Amino acid sequence: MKETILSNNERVFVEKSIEEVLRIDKRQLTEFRNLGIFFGKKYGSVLVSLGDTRVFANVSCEVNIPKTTRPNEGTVFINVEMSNEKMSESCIVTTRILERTIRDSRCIDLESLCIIAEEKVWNLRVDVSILNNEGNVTDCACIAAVSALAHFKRPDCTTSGDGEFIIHKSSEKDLIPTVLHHYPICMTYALFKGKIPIADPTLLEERVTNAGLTLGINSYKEICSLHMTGVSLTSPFLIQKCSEMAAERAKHVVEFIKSTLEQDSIDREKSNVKGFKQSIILTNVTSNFCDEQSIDNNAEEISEVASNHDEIIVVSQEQKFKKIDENTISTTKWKDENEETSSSDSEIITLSQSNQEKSKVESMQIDSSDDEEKETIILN
Amino acid sequence: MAQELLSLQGLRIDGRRQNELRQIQCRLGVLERCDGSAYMLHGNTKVIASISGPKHPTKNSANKNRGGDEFIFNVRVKFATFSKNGERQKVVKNSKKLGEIEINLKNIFKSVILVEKYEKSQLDLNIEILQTDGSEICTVVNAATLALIDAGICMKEYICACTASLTNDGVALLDVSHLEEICGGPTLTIAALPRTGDHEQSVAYVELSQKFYLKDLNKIFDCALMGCEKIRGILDEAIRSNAFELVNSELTNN
Repeated sequence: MKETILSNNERVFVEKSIEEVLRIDKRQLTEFRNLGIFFGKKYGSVLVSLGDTRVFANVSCEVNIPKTTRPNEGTVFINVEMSNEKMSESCIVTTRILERTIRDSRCIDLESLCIIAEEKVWNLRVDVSILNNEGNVTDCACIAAVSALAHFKRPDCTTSGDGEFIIHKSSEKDLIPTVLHHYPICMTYALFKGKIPIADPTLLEERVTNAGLTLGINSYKEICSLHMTGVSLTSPFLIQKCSEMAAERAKHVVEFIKSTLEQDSIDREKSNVKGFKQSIILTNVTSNFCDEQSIDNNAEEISEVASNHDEIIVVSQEQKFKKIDENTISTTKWKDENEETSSSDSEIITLSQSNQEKSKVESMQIDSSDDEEKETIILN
Repeated sequence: MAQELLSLQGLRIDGRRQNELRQIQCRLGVLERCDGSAYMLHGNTKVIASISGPKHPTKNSANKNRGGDEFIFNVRVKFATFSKNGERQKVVKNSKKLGEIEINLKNIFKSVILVEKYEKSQLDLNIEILQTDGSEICTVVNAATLALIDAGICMKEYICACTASLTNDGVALLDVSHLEEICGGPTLTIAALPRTGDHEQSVAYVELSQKFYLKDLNKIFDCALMGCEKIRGILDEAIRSNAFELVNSELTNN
């Protein structure tokens, strides 16, 4: 999918609003969006939402040969997938930042992943897929990867002396959790004109500023990674200022991850696992369904409007007719599906046809409905 | 990992002081056939950078740019097969690490080159790393700066890169070698525009790996920025002497 081009108006609007210390989604400049962590039914699968950005991470393990340089340590492989392209720039950058924050900071106890030194070790594979990009993918992906690793449990195995080992099923022996020494969290600040840091930028803000600073910090105020993306020049003081702000936030995020992990283990004991269904918010409207509207009422309304405001008639009439079209088409479709071709159906068809002539709306929906209408007419 | 990065006498593994750079040598205009080139020696790290352009965009890169009028800057980095210690390594194309270096270089130089002067034109930067001994990225950046200047591309300032590390006792080390990188300890790579006149020092690129306490960040940052200032002096000297040579050779020819 090709990116749509950012219009100049949008750019200017965002720039001006940031200069006036305002953001489009009413946040403060240093405020982050709401974070949600939802664990799946399997160990090691997690869905993280940061505002509208959604990332799914899954951890799996396999037995592998260790590296010759580190014969008694397991390995970690991190793979980030974005649906648009295989090796896009942002995908490479995100993968490398995650590798640096999680793998190079040595937060996972790799020695515990060893089965037989120099022969067999566990290889943890973290698959991160970005489901929805609404800005700040890196932070969301990092939180997802870390919490998935913390949630993951691998099967136990016993070794006999002669180099053979048995991997036990979960029914035979309890699964072993992964040991994490610390939880490194990524924090991204978009740098507006290289001077003003904006926490947790949305996609629009990211594209306007075109530069960002990503800091990986754990709850002990230790810096794990630092990366500047995009084209910009900043002062070194700003980077230090950002790092202090990020350290504060990292503490809260780590606490949140730990508390959700605890909640999850309690739920599992009660065998009350909710899975990803809790991530769906019921109060949100997810479809465009609306009740059928009768045409007579609309006609009355139109005439009322017409009598009140002579100038607005043209616009409002067109809009109303469009609405009527959509409604009638949906009803005809629905009735076709039920194979009910009654007399009322044909009435609606004639009405919708006349409406079409008036409004002259040429869209794919109507084209398809025309065919259906012909069919139904033949049936009649 | 047991090896001490800094001895009791205050000397590092290779005998340098804590804030001492490795030997830096550079030459401009080493290649005849391209528009600008430079050869850079940073300790045992050796890099050749060459520039071709500014020129009319090739069809391929113009297509990638979707026919826009923007300045196209392509970077290609190659590690020579014999560059690393030990066995010869297979040449890996499109690896993530190389891809990342290329993206970063692109961003660094796009922020310093006066882009508006080169609209509708293309500039190719080719980098060959002949030998590695730590701080590759910063050597590459310095070499590319020299090559750009040799090619006569307009830039805001010299851009200099430097690395710094930290010992367990919290002493910052300048210009990290490969051995020190392996021995543990964080490595900070920074590319900065040095302080000139009214302009403050500004940073174009930061990269950091391995963890350390936040309060040490100032120390390591200052150390790396000081290294950038030092490298600027070396680059400046090389460029000036190169310019003198060019003028002299022109005069003698005439």
